[in-house]
Parts: sequence; C-alpha cells; structure tokens
Amino acid sequence: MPQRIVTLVDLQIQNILSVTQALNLVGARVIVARDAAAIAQADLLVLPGVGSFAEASRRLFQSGLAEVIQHHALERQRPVVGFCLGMQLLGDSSQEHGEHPGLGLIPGQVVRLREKLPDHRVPNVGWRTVHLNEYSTAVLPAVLDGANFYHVHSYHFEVKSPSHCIGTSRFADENIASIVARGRVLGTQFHPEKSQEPGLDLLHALVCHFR
Amino acid sequence: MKRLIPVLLLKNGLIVRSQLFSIHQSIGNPMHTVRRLSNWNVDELILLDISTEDRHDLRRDDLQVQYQGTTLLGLLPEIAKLCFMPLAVGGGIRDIEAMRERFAAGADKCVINSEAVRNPALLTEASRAFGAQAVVVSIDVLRHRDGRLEVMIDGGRTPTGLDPLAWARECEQRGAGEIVLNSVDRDGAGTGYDLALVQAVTTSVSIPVIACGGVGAYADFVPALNEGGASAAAAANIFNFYELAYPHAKKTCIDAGVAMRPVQLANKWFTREPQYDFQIEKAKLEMRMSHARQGLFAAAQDPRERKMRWCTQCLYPSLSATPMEYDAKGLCTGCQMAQMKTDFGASEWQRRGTILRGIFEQARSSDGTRHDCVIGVSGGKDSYFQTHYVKNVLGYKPLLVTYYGNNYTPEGEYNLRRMAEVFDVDHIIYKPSVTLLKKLNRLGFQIMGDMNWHGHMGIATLPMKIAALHKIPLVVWGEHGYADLCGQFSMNDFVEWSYRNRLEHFGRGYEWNYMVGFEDITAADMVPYQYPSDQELFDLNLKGIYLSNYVPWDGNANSKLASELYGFEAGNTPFERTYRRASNLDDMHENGAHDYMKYVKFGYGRCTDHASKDIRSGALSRAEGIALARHHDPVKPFDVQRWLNYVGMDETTFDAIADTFRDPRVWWFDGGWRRHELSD
Repeated sequence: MPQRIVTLVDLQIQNILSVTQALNLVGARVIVARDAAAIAQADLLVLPGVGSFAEASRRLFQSGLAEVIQHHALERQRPVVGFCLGMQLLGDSSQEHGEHPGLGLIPGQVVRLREKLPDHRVPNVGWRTVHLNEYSTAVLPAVLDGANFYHVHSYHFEVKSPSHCIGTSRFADENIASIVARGRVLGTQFHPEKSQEPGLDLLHALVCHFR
Repeated sequence: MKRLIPVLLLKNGLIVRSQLFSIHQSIGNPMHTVRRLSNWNVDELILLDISTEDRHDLRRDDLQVQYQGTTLLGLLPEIAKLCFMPLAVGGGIRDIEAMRERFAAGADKCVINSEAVRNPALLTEASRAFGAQAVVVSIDVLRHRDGRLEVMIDGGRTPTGLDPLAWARECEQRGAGEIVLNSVDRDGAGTGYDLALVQAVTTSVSIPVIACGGVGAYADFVPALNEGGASAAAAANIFNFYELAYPHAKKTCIDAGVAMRPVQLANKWFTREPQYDFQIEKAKLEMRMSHARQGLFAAAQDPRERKMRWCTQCLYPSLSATPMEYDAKGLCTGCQMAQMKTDFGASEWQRRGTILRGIFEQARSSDGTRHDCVIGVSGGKDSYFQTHYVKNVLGYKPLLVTYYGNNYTPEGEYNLRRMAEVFDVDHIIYKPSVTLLKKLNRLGFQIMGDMNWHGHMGIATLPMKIAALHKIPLVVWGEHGYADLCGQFSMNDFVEWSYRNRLEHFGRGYEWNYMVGFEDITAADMVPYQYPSDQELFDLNLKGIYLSNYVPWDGNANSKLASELYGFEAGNTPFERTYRRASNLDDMHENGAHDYMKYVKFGYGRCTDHASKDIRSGALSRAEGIALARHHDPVKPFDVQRWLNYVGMDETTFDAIADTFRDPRVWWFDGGWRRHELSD
C-alpha cells in the first residue's frame, strides 16, 4: 500500500510534533499546513488540538482556514479528523470563555463538564474507558471497544443527533461523547497520539481506512 | 481511573536522583529511561528540568543515543519521539513564550512552580492562552518542625510565607488545571507521602491533585490515592531503582483496590529493543572509518573551551566515563557515597544482612528441586567472594554462570576452572563462537571505541538469561560499579539490576540487534546477548541484587579472602595500566587495550579508578594516587599487539580509529596529543 499522506492543520498553538510523531509511527507521511493553499490539496485532514477554543476559533476564522476546511469536508467530501480541541472545533459553537463559533461540521455545542467531587474533578484528566456504540463506523476496529484513552478536557461535545456520537465514556453519572462522527468527519475527545497502543491502533485505522 | 506517574528529574541533560532537593546523583541518559517507560505504558510522564547550566552533556561520541541540542528544548523533541503518553514539562518556566516553546517541542502540559508565586497573573494568562488542562502548578510544601505548612520555591530553598491550602485555591481560581503537590521534607526520604497534607489539599480544591514526594515502597502509593483523595500518585526515585518498578508498583495499587489501567508490559508499536536503521548505522561507521583514514579528528579540529574539574578528594574528572556530580565542597558523589558506607556501624550492616537473608528466603527453592540463585562469575576475586558468601556464609545453593569472552589470562583461567571444585557448586561456562567474538571485537572497537562491548553485554545478559530459563528468581551480582565508582545511587536505595542499566551503561545504547547485518552476523549468532523478555522477568519476579548493598565490600579484602581460603591466584606479572594485581584477570584487555581506549577518550584510565577507591578507603594518599595515575594512565599496553593479531588489524589503523574517539573537551592537538591533566 502506498504511504498515506496526512495533512495537519497548524494553528501554531497545538501539539503538532506529538501528533506528527505518532502518525509517522503508524506509517503515515505528514504535511504540516498553515495556509489555505496547502489545505486545498489535502486528502486526510487532521485538526490536532490543545489550547483554548476561543483562540483556535479566532485563528481559524480570521485566517480563512475555516472555509477551506468546510469546503474540504462538505464540497470535496474528503475526510476530516479532530483530536481533543480539534474535535470540539468540529461542532457549532463552544461556551468556553464566552460563545465562539466552530466549524459546524457536526451539529452540537461544546459545554462545560459538571464536576462531582470528590472523584469527578474538572478538568477531567486521565485514562477513561471508551465504549463504541451501535452508530460506530466500520473504520474503527472492534478491538477499540472498551479500550482506555487519555482524556484531558474541561468542556465536552453535546451532539444534537445521538447518531453522531459513536463512542462514549463515563463522567460523573453521565455518558459523554468521546468519539463523534458524521460521514467523513470524525473527532475524538481524547488524545490518540498520547494513548499508547489503543491510540496508535486508532490512528493506524484512520490512516489506512478513513477515506 | 487514577494515574500512577513517574517523574524524571533532569539536570544538565541527565536524569538525577534527588534527596532533600539538594543532593543529586546522576542516573543517566533520559532517552533510555523514557523508552522503558513507554514500553510499560505508563499513565503519564512528568519531566522536571533542574539544570544549573544551560549546557547539556550527552555528547560522548561512543554512545549510540545522542542528540544535538544543548538545552532542554533540544532534548524535548527527542524525548517526544519516544513518548506516546502525556508529557508534562516543568522547570524554569517564566513566561507564555517559554510555555509555547515547550508545547511546540512536544510537551502536553507545562508545570509552573516558582514563577507562579512571583507572578500569579501568569497562571491566568496561560490558562487563557493554552486552556486550563495545559497548566499545571507545582507546589513544594515544607512541613516545619512545629507542624506548620509553608510553600517553598526555588527548588525548596526560598520560603514564601504562603499557606499551601490558600495558595492551591488561588491557583485553581486563576485557571490552573492540576496541582502537583510535593513535600520538600519527604524528598528522597522513602518514608511515604505526607498524607495529611495530601488530604488537606484535595479537599480544598476541585481540580485534580497529583501527590508527590516520599515514596519508598510500592505500597506507599496506595493511601495517597485512597484516603488522600489524590487523582494521581507520582514519584521519581523509586522508578529508577528497581527493574520493572512501574508495573510492580501498578500491580500493588490494583491489588489494593485502586481503579487503574491494567499492567501492560509491551506495546506492539514500540519494542523494548531499540530499532536501528541499518543503512544509517552502516553509513555512520563508514564515515568514522573514512575520518580515521584521512586523519579527521574531532578533538584536533574543534578545540572547545571547557574547564575540566576534578574531585577535591579522589582523582575523578568531571568528564568521566561514569556519570557524576560534585557537592558544594567539590566532593564527588563517589566520595560522598563511600563516606556514607564508611560511616555505617556494625548494627547497620547487621540490619542489611537481615534484609539480605529475607531476600534469599523468598527466592530459595521451596521444594529443593532447583538452585536457589544464580551468580554471574568471571572467576575473579569478587566472584570468589560472592560464591563464598552465598554458599558458605548464608548456606544457599547457587548456580554459577560465566560468559567466556576468550581473553582470559592464564591465572584468570586457572581461577575460573577451579570454582566448581573448591566451592562444590554447579558451573555453566558459556563460550560463544570465536569467529563471532573476533567480529564483535572488531565492530565494538570501530563503532564505539571498545573491543569489549561483547564482554560487557555477555556478562550483563547470560546470568539473567540462564536464571529465566531455569526459573530461578534471584541473580546475585557483586558491586554496582557506578554506585561504587561515582556514587550513582545512595546506599539507601538498595538499587537492583535493570535492563536499562544493562543497555545504557554496559551496552552504551547498542543492543544485541545493532550488530545484526555487520560482518554477516545473524540474529541467531547473537543468542548469548539476547535478554529475557519483560513478561518473563515479571512473571518470575526475577530480581538481580548487588551484594555490596548488604555486606561490607572491599576489593582488596575480597582478594585476600579468596587467596587465603580458596587458593585464588593473583596475577604473576604486574599490569602495565594499574598497580593492582588481583583485578580483571578474566580479560587481559580489560586492564589493557580496552582501558587504554578509556584513556584515549576521556584522558584517564583504570589506575585513576583504582587509586580513587584506595584514596577513599585510606590505603593511598591523594598525592600517591596522582603519581600512580600519572605513571599508569597514559601507558599503551603490550596486549594491543595480541588484540591486533587476534582480529587482524594493523597498529596504524588502530591508532587512527582510536583518535576519532578523543573527546575535544579533554584533548587537543599541538604537535602531539595533549590533555587536561590533574595537577597536585
């Protein structure tokens, strides 16, 4: 199989290096894109994420990258994947430090987690078991059902349509969206690049099969 | 699920062991350790840089694992390549820009300590810019004698007057996402966490708290996570001391009912043995050989200004083959640890003897169907002492295992052959093919300037391999060379044998598979150097202990005992490179050509090692030591000729290859090779 090329959208506030290393390890070639031209050529587009939603949103819309990504997903029907903040950016908007627009590729809102002491603290930091549900895609191998992934977030994605949440984890007494997907758009609340074997397995599956 | 987190303390590029925030002992290269932690699927990693210089010192040319940068920011991307778990980085972070740089270099979180106290607005700003989850505040707390708690900064040196609970709440309000809570007075003490402090902080804030400081045993993690309410338990030292410490610690927590990810000893994306790109490695070797032919020597071309320093008591240079540190008086960690040992009274040795017996009782064959332990023996004076102690003092049944490197002196061979008889024990002598040995001699010399790489790795592998094969859970080593020479560990660490130590210090980062492909060597040829898997080590709970942690250990005394009780023969002819006669008879090159290469690289040799030990024990004065080292260290020994005939190399080629390894910080060329030398 020829080597898959993955294009990372670099807003210059993310952990580009970690994601690059992990994608390289599972056999992908990585292009880091900072402008519309580079993204317009992309096949599999990845939005890595750490940082604040407000800042990322501002950078996406001011630079015009938001439109290019939307075009990539909606017009070109090419795959887009987001991790952590990158996943949240796929939604309509976020309430983190005010109200900020997202890319609107998966309908839903990003809202703050409700803490429940002593055990469910915010940020929600650590390894959480993720269960794939009946909406899950064939792209993700069944072995990932029940695997542990590294989550670190204070806000979470409330999807509008239940079918867009394909993997959940428990926080306090709720199921929260750990994996969201709609057509060729997929996002993980956790960091697969920092989730060791299951994370690398997931990246490998996306690199090989998400088309 | 709760997290168990190893903390790596970095000082000038090397991992250090810390005690009371003030004594730092060099453990080694972070890359080897991070790779191990990745293998074990650790929940997260915290890296704290406590460097005092902006220069990192990993530039030895004979090591496989190197990196080019001279600062933490140069090191981070290299670490990130090996780190597929979350990485929090701290140390010296003063502004948003410093955080941005660390995130770009592979950090997932930044840990802020002193600067948060000096400039709390930084927390607010950082949380806005990077999100709360990326901002971790480290709080170092000192419990005063009267029980009062106080936040300390600047590595525990500066009191702040701040109450830890109030300060933790302020950090939370300002947007910190997590707190690392460290106890200054428990650092390196091994007496367990300050549980009351952990409880007080976890009930004062609603963000996750990581407990740190004081762990001395695996069971110490549990109360912080259960009663203490911490979201994660962290420690530094303990993970450096024992093989598979992380999985064993995790198992202890899970067995005690803490919800955690299960122990996982391997990762299919990331092997324990480093994977080398043969084409790149081959090109590196060809480049070195080409430099040797053309006379392009780094030391001659690149005279770097760097001040060498020496220990004020013994003869150890700052640029040594062994990692070390100096205290404020200029005393090296080797001398500090030797002093600690000298200060032990009879009751301390008695206490250690009791611990040792406990270890043997646990490991012994309960039904008498196997040996009680394995002893790796070379047939030297220390081998005699170890076997004497295990068999005839403690009364256990050892299996002796020898890696036969084909370089024995006649006396060494005689001593080796007699062991089974004089001790009435079983003895396995493993002889690799001589053709293979010749190839490994040549390759070791060309690749890393050490013809005895095969010997170090064979000795460091076979006893463990034979123990795993025969399901014997205990291997008894003699002294921990680096703890003894350079004070790598404290006597209170009871440091044990580890794969990391084997690969990093015995193998210089060159694992057995590195050699496959060179000179048509196959994987099957390298069987004697293939180490048991982590799963085998874990399932058998295979431990390798150092006898020198439990019983008084002195090379000269061991030699005397071996010859008086067992007819051990010292060398008939004196060595050229040292004044001691009873050491290293198992390998004529160990005190000869191999040691000459140490001199070529670092400017000192085994005589400095021996004299330093003898100065510490009072057998030599420093002036006598200096005179001896000055005489012996530079000698080019006669056995170089034997070695050249053995492997088929001429002396000019030998000298040229050797010169490519000269360290520019020690050597320069001025009509001839000159070196920084210790003067009286």
